[in-house]
Parts: sequence; structure tokens; C-alpha cells
Amino acid sequence: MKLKPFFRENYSGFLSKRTKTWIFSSFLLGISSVSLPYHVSASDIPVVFSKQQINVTGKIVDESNNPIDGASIKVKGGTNSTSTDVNGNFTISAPPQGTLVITHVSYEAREININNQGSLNIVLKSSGENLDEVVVIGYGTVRRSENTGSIASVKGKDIAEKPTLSFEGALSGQAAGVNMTANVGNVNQAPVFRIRGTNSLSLSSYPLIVVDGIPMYTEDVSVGGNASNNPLASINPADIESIDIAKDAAATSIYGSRAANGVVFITTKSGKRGKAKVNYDAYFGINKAFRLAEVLNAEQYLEIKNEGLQNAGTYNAQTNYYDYSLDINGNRIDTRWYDYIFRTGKVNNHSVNVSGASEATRYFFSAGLTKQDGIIQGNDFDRKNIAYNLDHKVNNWLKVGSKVNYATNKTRAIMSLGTGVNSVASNSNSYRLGFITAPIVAPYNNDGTFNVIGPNVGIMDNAGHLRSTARLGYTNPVLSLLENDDYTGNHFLQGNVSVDINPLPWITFRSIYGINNMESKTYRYFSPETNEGISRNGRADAITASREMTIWTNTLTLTPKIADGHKLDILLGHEEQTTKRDGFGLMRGNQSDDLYRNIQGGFTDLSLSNTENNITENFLVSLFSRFQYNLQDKYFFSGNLRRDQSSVLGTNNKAGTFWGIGGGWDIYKESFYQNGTISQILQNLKLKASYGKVGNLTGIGDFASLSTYAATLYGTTPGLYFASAGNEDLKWETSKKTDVGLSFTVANKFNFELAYYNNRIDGLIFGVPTPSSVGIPNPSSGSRNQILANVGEMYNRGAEFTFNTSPIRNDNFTWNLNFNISHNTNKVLSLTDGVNSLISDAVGGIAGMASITQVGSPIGMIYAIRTDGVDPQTGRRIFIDGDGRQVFFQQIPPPGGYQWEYADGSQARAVNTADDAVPYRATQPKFFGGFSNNFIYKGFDLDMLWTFQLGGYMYNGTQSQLMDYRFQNNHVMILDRWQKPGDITDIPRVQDGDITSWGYSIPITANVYKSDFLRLRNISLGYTLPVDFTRKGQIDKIRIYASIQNALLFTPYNGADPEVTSTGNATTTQGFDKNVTPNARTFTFGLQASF
Amino acid sequence: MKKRFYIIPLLLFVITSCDYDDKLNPVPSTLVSEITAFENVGRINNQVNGLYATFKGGGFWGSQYIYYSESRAGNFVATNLNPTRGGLSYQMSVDASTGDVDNVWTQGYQIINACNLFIERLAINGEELLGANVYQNYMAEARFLRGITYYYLLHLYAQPYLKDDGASPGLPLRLEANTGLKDYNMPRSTVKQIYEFVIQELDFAEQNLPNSYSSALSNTTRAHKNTAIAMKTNVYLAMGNYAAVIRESDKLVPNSSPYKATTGVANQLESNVLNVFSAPYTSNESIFSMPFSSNDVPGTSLGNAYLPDGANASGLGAAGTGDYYLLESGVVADPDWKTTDTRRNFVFATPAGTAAGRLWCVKYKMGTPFADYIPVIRYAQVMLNLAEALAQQNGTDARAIQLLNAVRNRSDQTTTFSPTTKAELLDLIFRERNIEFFGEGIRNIDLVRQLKPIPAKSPRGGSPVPEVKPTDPNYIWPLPTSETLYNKDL
Repeated sequence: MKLKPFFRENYSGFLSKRTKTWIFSSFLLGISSVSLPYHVSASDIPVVFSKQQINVTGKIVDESNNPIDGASIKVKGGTNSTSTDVNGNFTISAPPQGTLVITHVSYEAREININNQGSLNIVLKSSGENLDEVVVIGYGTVRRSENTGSIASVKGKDIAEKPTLSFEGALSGQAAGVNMTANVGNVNQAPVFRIRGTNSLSLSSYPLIVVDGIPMYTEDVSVGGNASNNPLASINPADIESIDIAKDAAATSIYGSRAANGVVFITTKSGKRGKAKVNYDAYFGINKAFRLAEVLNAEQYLEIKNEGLQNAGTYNAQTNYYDYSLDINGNRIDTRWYDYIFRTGKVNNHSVNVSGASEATRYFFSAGLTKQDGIIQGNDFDRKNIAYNLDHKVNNWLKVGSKVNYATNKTRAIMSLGTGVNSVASNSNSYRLGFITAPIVAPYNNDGTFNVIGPNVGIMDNAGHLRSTARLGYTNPVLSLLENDDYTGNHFLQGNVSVDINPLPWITFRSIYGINNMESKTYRYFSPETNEGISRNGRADAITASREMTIWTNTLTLTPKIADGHKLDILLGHEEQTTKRDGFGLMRGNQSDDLYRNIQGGFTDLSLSNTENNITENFLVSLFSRFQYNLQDKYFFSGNLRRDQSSVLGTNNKAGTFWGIGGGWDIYKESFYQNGTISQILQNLKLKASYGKVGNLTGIGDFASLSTYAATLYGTTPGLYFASAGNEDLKWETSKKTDVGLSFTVANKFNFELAYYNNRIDGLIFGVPTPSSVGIPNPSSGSRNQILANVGEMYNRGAEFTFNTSPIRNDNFTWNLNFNISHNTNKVLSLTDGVNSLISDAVGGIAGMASITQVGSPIGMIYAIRTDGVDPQTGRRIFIDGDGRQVFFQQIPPPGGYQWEYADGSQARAVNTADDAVPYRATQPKFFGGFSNNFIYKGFDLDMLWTFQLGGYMYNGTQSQLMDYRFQNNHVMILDRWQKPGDITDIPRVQDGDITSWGYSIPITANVYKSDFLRLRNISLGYTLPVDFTRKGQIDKIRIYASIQNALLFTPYNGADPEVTSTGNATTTQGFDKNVTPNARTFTFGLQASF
Repeated sequence: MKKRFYIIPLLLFVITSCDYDDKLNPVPSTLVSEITAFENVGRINNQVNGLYATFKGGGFWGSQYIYYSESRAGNFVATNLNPTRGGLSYQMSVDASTGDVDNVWTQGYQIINACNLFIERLAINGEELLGANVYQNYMAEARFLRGITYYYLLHLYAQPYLKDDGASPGLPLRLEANTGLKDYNMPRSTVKQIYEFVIQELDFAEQNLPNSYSSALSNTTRAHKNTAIAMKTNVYLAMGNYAAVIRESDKLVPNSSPYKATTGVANQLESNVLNVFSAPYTSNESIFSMPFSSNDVPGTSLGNAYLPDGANASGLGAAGTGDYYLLESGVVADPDWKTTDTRRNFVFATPAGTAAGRLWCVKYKMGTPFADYIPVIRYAQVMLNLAEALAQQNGTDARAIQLLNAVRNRSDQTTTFSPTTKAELLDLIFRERNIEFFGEGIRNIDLVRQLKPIPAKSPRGGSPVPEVKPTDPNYIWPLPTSETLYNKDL
């Protein structure tokens, strides 16, 4: 038996006019017949042999009525076979009573009884997994069956209806090997995005995101305010057609020096052949906080705090005690501060697009409007965007195109939200204020004024009998929320123009010129009444930042015809990319009239903000080539080569060469396999392997390799100082990636994909620490005494498993199931001579948390002092010092005792991180994945996506705040505290002033918990109105749906949420949660209509 | 038809003929390359200012060296025990990974390396560009700053000289310019070696610094001969070399009133101490001070730390964060410090509210943006250094008592001391120093150099901090982990 290749010579589109007309009419016919899918059970069909043949033409479409390219059509029991063209059309000669067997790698096979019909319209159902026919591979596309790399694909529609502001947040659990920590408690925060583990120490581990050929800015861009600012929120998720996630060297190496973290190709929508189509999507909803830490009410608070004073020996029933404050009606005040800080946020989104295509011109226009309130007061986002995508075939050798996306957005965050660019420990951290502010005082005094003493919440009726504290909170959140403002807004403009020239059908020259601009501005105003503004007597800031990228890409694609069964595809390319950044800002203080609320108003002080040296540029120039060879659709080979030169590297190492090779073997197509009985059990068996070397340079400062002096002032006189020690040998991090993948289908029903990868990174760049007495400067104080150099080695190894099937599939009921799980092991192999570990004493500048990266272990382990519960006799916290001895702590020792004591009562030294901490737990999960179910019953559809992770740990720094034994309010677990000898508990005796027992400023293992979780990330129920009904209103389709994001969470983690991060996208300090706003739960109701 | 495709080779030609060298080596428009940093006189002069600016970085004389020291020394209470604002220094519970310990050490050695680099690079072409005189002046300024930085670091990280004549481990003595990766392991020199080095630097500075500058501002903010001499009195005092203190002080302090330097800058006791802490801050008493301005505001600032916050500050006209208030039983409780003493103007009491009567240090009273100059050494200190040395050497020395009374009478005409024993005189000088210099970062040095215990602090209503004896492990700070982890030869 011989199979015809899928590939057809005319696939690139040089069709005769007659063919085009025919395709076009078939396409229309296909649309009109969408509601009448053939479905014939194989067992019903008699096998008929006849010598008479008729010509059967037909069109094969998917469930969304999109034509299916490359479906194979065979006459059952016969020898004729063919495959569909790009428009889903086919013609085959077959017996009039014969049966056609339709197969396609991405769709469920079908058998169709011809029944003497000369024309057939056939609907194939997706085999469950989101396998697009064509995958994007960078500077081109390839059919999935020919692809040799490891590429996971996600369809745009799977993310468009999820209420995420930016597409990548919706990728959680959707693809093997892709790990996403999406913190949606703070609007517009970039998720922690990892493909196959963390691949760098000091540089970025964020994948390269390429939208229609233009690299995007990624990770939160701080413009000096509290607001998170994810630049990828410039793309309206509804405009996305598909997302292809390239993971291995074969798939990523075409991006050379930027490929080590994986490459994500976003393809935006374009017009599809046919009459104009209008789509309108909208959703409305609400956002709510959940799983907030439960804190004491006023009565419980008084019990605990007075007990704390008593235990400290400072309680005095006349002069030093906590008591209720009374409100204006004489009732006891019992304030739940969360109610003033959290809210039910509103969410709404509208997207409309118009698309279509004639023979020569394809067009797509869209507009979107998104508004989303965060769960915290004063934290909200809105976005408007318009986009178009247009291409036109001028004649049979020239094609021109253009696309533009313009978006403007604004994110407000009046108070700090505790992550990424925000200060986590700040006294204006909103979540923290919600749980630490005492319940016995109110935001307002009884005379209606704000309850503040200086910058802090005052003590109200406790004045006069509470000496131990002058305040019962920090910032008064109600005052700050009312008076202050802080927002960051952006204008994004991304666009390109392109020209395609085909001198010969097999030669395509393509030139694209693109721009990617981001203009950002932060405005903030702090009233002189508020904690934030009091020290400057009112303050206004305005900061701008601008990023401009231009990119010019020229490619030559050659697809020479060699012989039947051989297909060759060669790409040659050249690319130049320039990125310029600058910014400046002002801060004004000492407000002269309470009218003024912006920088333009009346203030007497003026100073610079985010201005000095804030102008940089970088340049990348590349030559690249790709070679793809397909032998008989069974053997596939690809090779990529890229040479990059980058300005950010040391003068001695500007250039680097990267490459990747991959091979694929479609065993299922082998005749020996087809003839064997195993082909009845295992279908679509395919083996892939790749190896290559790629690089990473994302995150190196534009001038980091230079040694420079910077301007300063000495009072009023100008100064110049040695500001930065560079390294002229600085070069790329290199990542050698090995990948082996196997995919197959069992019993034509169950699809499996397995992959193993080994990614070894050499020349890891990190700031090599020198003793601090060496005195190496750095503009960022955190990296003083560090010199960037390529020194470390690390690997990420792992396995990925994907399973999907459709257990039930008939005209009325469909059930699709998709499961993926990934396992990743990360290990640091070496750092630098004499340095076996790197410790971040205070994660992201936050006291009380520490992480260690050491040779032989995964990066970023929790580094903490061991604790061993609470002494039942005395209620003291037991620490284990570096020598393994138990050390007992109490804030105020009894006479003759010591604050720090050994078990024998002798004085011990105070425990500290340097002497007593141990590398305690790895933070990265060992396993993670997703499990989705999709049910379609008549017009109803039900979608469920579960995500999970296992095997990682999180440092619950929030707990150290919730168990602060000063005036701060506490978690209700304090009610189980030690009170008398013999009490067995994990909660030490309460003594006023004790911030040591719970590790306020030292990391302790008592705050470490497993971060395993199982989350019902999304559940949605939809209903598509009957077509007969909607047609009457000339509407093609109306679907309504309701969904819940973050519906359920099962976790042993005792903090609010195991999927948050205090440190943004930092590489070595993940797994730390300190006062981070937990994820929101979102309820939405949506409508989709197409005309 | 194929002729029209000449465009392709043409484009390829355009692409390949580009010269990318410039684009691959962009020149920063705001940063000076190390190659050209010593290219001309202007840049070198700016670099000298840059060294001073590094000395007044936030971790050092910009504020943290001072308020961490003060928070230990018994006059102040860390209001909120905030670990990011010296709360652990106050509680005498810092460890090697505490930010306080790291900040001062790291900033101190940033100053030292900046000086080392300047000295090394200037030696290449400085004399040629600047002429011998200015070259020596600049060298002396760099060596002066390097020397006093070592001196100040000693008092936090090393045992006092008097404990064992400087035999204890001191500091790594870094004298080379460090700019790249190499083997940086280095043992600690002894305390004595560091002191000797400091003296050597200050002797060089005295010989090579100018007598004075052309403006009062420069006379206060840049080192001149008298600055080096004044600093030497500090250093010798800490070494217990009283003869040398007297020898050096004699260069600045006449035998009898009026106390005024007769050579170089006419440094003298200002008639009213309030003037020292008021604009323009350039009185002749201010031998050496760190300047600030509205465009050069301190990152973390003394004023912000000391000034009362919110309602506590009502009536004061300026507010800070109220991180430190004055301990009721500290210097403010000194029975000999009269309420009429001018220096009581540096103490402000919360007028009303829950914390009514709480006392605050308002020496640095500007409020936002907290641009008060911060004295490093002033003439009064040289006088009291001399008095102490005389007392140590001669017991109830008449000149010592005169000097003590000169400082006292400047602010309080009604008190004149006539101590009868050496111990009494030394105690009076010790207390006078406290009243005169509280909040200025000197108290901790005064305690440690004399091996006096760090006093207990028992604020009303707050948690007590016990006394720390010179034999206790927390009497001095440990070296930070940023040093101990990576320097294997300590």
C-alpha cells in the first residue's frame, strides 16, 4: 500500500481562477451545511465492491466550520486515496455505494457511506487535543505532521473568554511543560511564566514572546508607581488566533540568543476567505477575594493583647492595658478592616471584530474595551485597543501586508499590593493593613475626623491607659484610599508592513519592517494628611518611560521541487533590531493648597525621580537559516542556524552562533507497521528527537558590560563617581537542549504524547559575589560587590505527559478530556570557584525571608533557621541552632533567666541566619499540570479546567506578620497559644513585643509549608441558541455562558494562596509569600455572537 | 519577467554592506567611560567631590552610621523597634546578616575602594594634568577620606584599642583599586595596624592638604590641614595616646581663650551652638561637615529618623517619621544639664496627646527634604578631646577644666565646673560630650573606645534592653555575611 503525501504542490496558493471560484463556492456551501453533519457509525456500513466508479467531490471542515487541510481520504477496501487542500476540498474516484475513510492526525477518523452522492460535506471532530494543522516555527509555519520540534499549541478561543487581562495568564494548565504562576489578586500583574523550569539565575527566565514576528516586552515594567504593569496586556486576548509554545532546540533555535527560555509565538487573527463576518464577544462579572487570613475580633484581640502585656510584666490595670473604644452611640467598636480594603470588583469586556477575505485581499479589524476592578479598593485596570490586519495580493508575484495594534491602558493601585514592583513590607501594603490593624479602633473618630496620629492609626479611647504603643495600626487605609491616587498608563503601538515577492513559485522573498513602542506614564499624588504624603507635606510625582523598538527582517524561503516524496524547505534570513529606552520624572513636595492634586499644581519643593542615567539602547543583528527536509512524509529532518551579535555583551564577545537539529519519524506510515497487527492497537506512532545550543541574554542591562562613572552631587557641587564595574568578556548564557518525544494513539481514541528533555545551561551569568570589603560599586545597591560573569552551570531535566481523548462522541453528546503533567528537576552544578552558595538574605529586600542557591541543589531553596515547636513547660519557642542544639527564646526573661537559653538554663547566643539557617526546602514543584473536561450536549457546553502542582514548598512570610506579638492583630490560630505548663501547642506564649518567635526578621522553618494544590481554575457552562432560531435574526451564532475562575482550591498551604509570588519574575527567589494579595475568584457571564 | 527581481540582490547588498560596529558599541550619553574618566581637570575635580559624596552615602555619614550608633548608645529609643530602621541595633541583637551590619560595612568599603581607585588612577597622569600642588592636594583628600573611613569602621566592627593595645582582629586593609574579578581573600589586620595606617594617612593629609579654600563652603565640606589635624585628635584619643592628642590639639587650640586656630582655616568655637546647625552651616566651628541641598537630598536621613511624626511634631514646623525619640533616662536626664542651657533647644517635647512630654532630638530640624548639613567633626570636639587627654595625663588639669567650661559656658553661663579629682573631671568631660554631641554619632565611639558598657535602656512602657558589657559578644558588631561568606582568609 502506498500513501500519497499530504503535501500538495499548490498549497502555497497558485490556483487557477476556475479552481478559486470552485473553492469559494464550496466554502460557502460548507458554511450553509454546518448544521447537518454526517455521522455514520462504522458498523452500519456494508463494504461494497464495485467496478463502477464515480467522482466524489467534497469538503471537510471542523466543528467550527473551518476547512481542514491535509485530511486523508481513502476508499475503504480499495486503493484510491487523496487528501484535502488548504480549503478542505477533495476529489476522489470511488464506487457509488462505497465507503470513504477519512483520517487526520488531529481529528477523529470517520467513515462515510457515499450512497451515490457526488458531493459530500463532512465534519470532523477534533481528536481532543488542540492540534492545529499549521504550527508557527518562527519566520514561517510548518504543518504539525512535519514538525520536528516540541511545540505545544493553544487555540485563541481557549483563552479569549477567560477574564484574564493578558493571554499568558490563561495558559495555566493548558500545555505540558508550561508552568504559570498567575497571581490575579493584583490586576495587571505579569505571571511567573516558565517553560521547562527556571533557566537562569541572574537573567530573565521569561520566555521570548513573539507576536506576528515582533518580539514583545515582557515582565512587569515599573514606572515608579504601585501599579503592576504587564506589557503583554497590550494584546487583547480576543485578537489571538493561536499560541504556539516552542520548547526544544529544534523549535526555538531559530531565535538563537534569546531562545533558552522557550519561545511563544502568538498569531493574531486575520481574515478568512468568505463574506464579511462580524463577531461580538462580551462578558460581565464580579471579582471577590477569598481565603483571606481570619483574624481576631475585638473581644479576642483584647484577650490576647492584655495577656501579652501581663506575660511581659508591663500590664497595669490603671496605666497600661488595652480596652474597647466606643463609637458615637456608645457601642463597642469592632472593626473588620478587610471590609474597607477589599471589595467586590466589577469586570467587563467587549470585543468586536470584522473579518473576511476576497481572492486578493484579507482583512481583519477589531476593537476591544476592558475594564476590571481588582479585589482591593483603588486597584483597577482599563484598556482600549484597536487593531487591523490587512494583506493584499497585488498580482501573482507580489503581496503586501500591514498590521497595527494600538492599545492604551491604565492601571491604578493606590496602595501597595505586595508583589513584584511593589514594596511587600511597606506600611501601606493593603492586604497587610487589612489583617494587622487593631479591631478595637475605627477608621474615623467619633467626631467624624480620620483616626490618625501622625501617619498612623491612633489608639482612640485607649489614650490615657495604653503606654506600650502610640498607634494601633499603620496607614489608615480609608484615608489613603480617599485622598491618594497612583496610576500607570501606557500607549502601545505595535505594527508592521510587509512585502512578499515570489519570483518563482518556489521562491519567496519577504521583508517586514516592524515597530513596537510603549510609552508609559505614572502619576501619583499623596495627600499631606496620609502616611504616604505626610513626610513631604503632600507630594506629587510624574514619571515617564518610553521604549521604542524597530525591527527589520528579510527572509528568503526556497521550496525547490526535487522529486516525488521529497520536500525541501530552506530559509535564509537577516534581522536587525534596535531598542531604545528613556525616561524621566519629577517629584514635587510641600503642597501649598489642598486643591492641588497633580504635578502641575502648586508645590514648593522639586526633585528628580527616575531620571538619572535613564537612557539606554541596545542593538541586535542576526543572520539565520533553516533547512527542512521531508522524505515521503515519514522521515523529517530540520536544522536551524543563527548568528547573533548584540550590543549588550562585552566587547570581546559580541557575537554568538546557535543551532539546533531535529528529526522525526512517522512510524505509523511505514508499511511494515501498517501491515503489523500493532497498527490496530497503536496508531499515529511518531518519534521525534532534537538537540541544539541556544542562548540567553534577556535581562542584561544595556550597558552592563561597561565600567562607567556617573554624575552625582556633593551638596551643590558636581561630582563624578565610579558607579559600575563591567566585564568586557561578558557573553551569552548557553543552553544545550536535548529532547525526545513520542506520540501515538491507542485504539484510534486515546492520544498520548510523551517527552523527555534535558536542558543544560553553561556560562550562567550571575553577579559573582566578592567580599563586601572589596568595594565594587553598582548602581543598584543589591548588586554591590557583584560582577556579572559567565560562570555557573545548571540543568533542567524533565518529562512531560499529555493524554487526551473523547470518551463519548455522538451527535448529541461529546466529552473531551485532556490531561497533562510535567515533571522537572533542576540542579545547580557549579557556581564559581570558591563559591558554593549564593544567599539572598532578604528576599527582594524583605527582611525575614532568605533563599539559598547552592551547588548540588535546585536554585532558590528556602534558607531558614530550624524550629522545633514550643516547649510545653514554659511556652517558649524552641529554635535549633547551627550546632543542632535546642535554644529557647522568650522576649522578656524572668529574673535570672536569659532571653536565649539552652535546655540546661545557660545563656545561649541569639540565633541568626548566618550561623544557624539551613537549606531547608526546594520551592519549585516537582510535578505540575492541568486536567480539562469539556462536555457538549446539544446546545450546551460545560468546560472545566483543573490545575495542580505537587512537591514544592512556600515560605509563608505573611504568617510572621499575622503572629506579631506587638499591637498588631493576629490570626485566629493564636487562640490556641500556650498558656500554662503542660499545654501542647505550636503557638508560643504571648509576650508583648515578641517579634522573634514567629520570625519577623529571621527566617524560620515554622513558616514553611507545602505548596501543593489542586485548583478548579475555570468552570464554564454555555448554551448555543439553536441555529434555526438565530438564523431568523440573520445571526449565525449566539452563545451565552457563565463561568467561575478560581472556583475551588484544595491545598495544604496555610496561607491565602499557594500560587502567589512576592518577587515578581525573579529567578532565585520564588516560593516566598509575604503579604501578597491572594488570587481573586471571578464570576462572569458572557455572550458571543457572530453575524 | 525575472528582471524585476533585481530588487532581491539589491536588498541583500544593502543588508550585508551595513557596518554594525557603532551600533554594537553604543556610547552611553550619561555615563563616563572609565577610559576617559581621568581625561581632564574638570572631571578629576568632580571625582574628588564624588569621593566625598560616597562618604556621605546613606549607609555611612549620610545617616545610617550615625543613627545606628546612636540607637545603641543609650540616649535614644527606637520607637517602633522597626528592624529596617535600626531596631535591632537598638536592641543590641544584630547578627551577621542584619541589614544594619551590612549597610555600614558595605558603604564604608565602597568609600575605601573609591579612594583606592582614585589614588591609583590619578597616580598615572594626575601630576601631569593638575600640576604637583593640586595633585598632592587631591591625593591627600582621597587618603584623608580613606583613613577616617577605616577609623569609623573600627568602632563598630573591632574590639577597642585599649582592650589589648590593638592586638584584636581589625579590618581587612584594602589598598588596591578593585574593579574586576580576582582573588580577593584577605585576612584582617590587627586593630593596631589599622590605627597606624589611619595615622599615616592623616599625617600625609596634613602635609599635603591646602591650608584653606577660597570659600566658607569648601572650608567646611572639603578637607584642609586643620581637618586632618582635628581627625588625628580623635584617632589618638581612641588609641589612648594622650600625648599625641595634646600635641595635635595644640596646633588648633591655643593655651587659653579665645579658642581659635591660628593657622589655616580660623576654626573656633562658634558663639552660639545653634548657628552650627543652621544655614549656611559653614561656621568656623564646622571643621568638616557633609553638605546636602534640595537637589542632593539624603536617601535615608537623620532628620527624618529623629524628628517627631505627626501630632508629636505639632508646633515644631517640621516632621519626620519619629523613629527615634530621646530616652527619658538618657542624656536628657543629666542633672547638670539645665533647662536654660541653649542646647536644650535641640530637644523638643511632644506638646499634647497620648505621647505628651515625649522628647525628640531636633538638631537636624529642616524637615523634608531633610537637607541639613551633618557635622563630622567640629571645633568643640577637638577642645573636649584635648581636655580629656590633658585630664588623662595630668589629672585635674587647669587647662582641661578651662576647655570644659568654655564649651559649657558657651551654652550655659550659669554653670562652671571645678572638679577636684581626675575621675570627676573625666566624668564631667564624658557627660559634656554627651550633652554637646548627642545625636551626632559620637556617643557610641566614646563608650566603646573607653571600654564602657553599652547602657541598659528602659523606656517607659516599652521593652527594656539590658546593659551590654565589653566582654559580651554583642558589644561590637560581627562582620557581615557578605564579607564572611566570600572572604576565606578572615
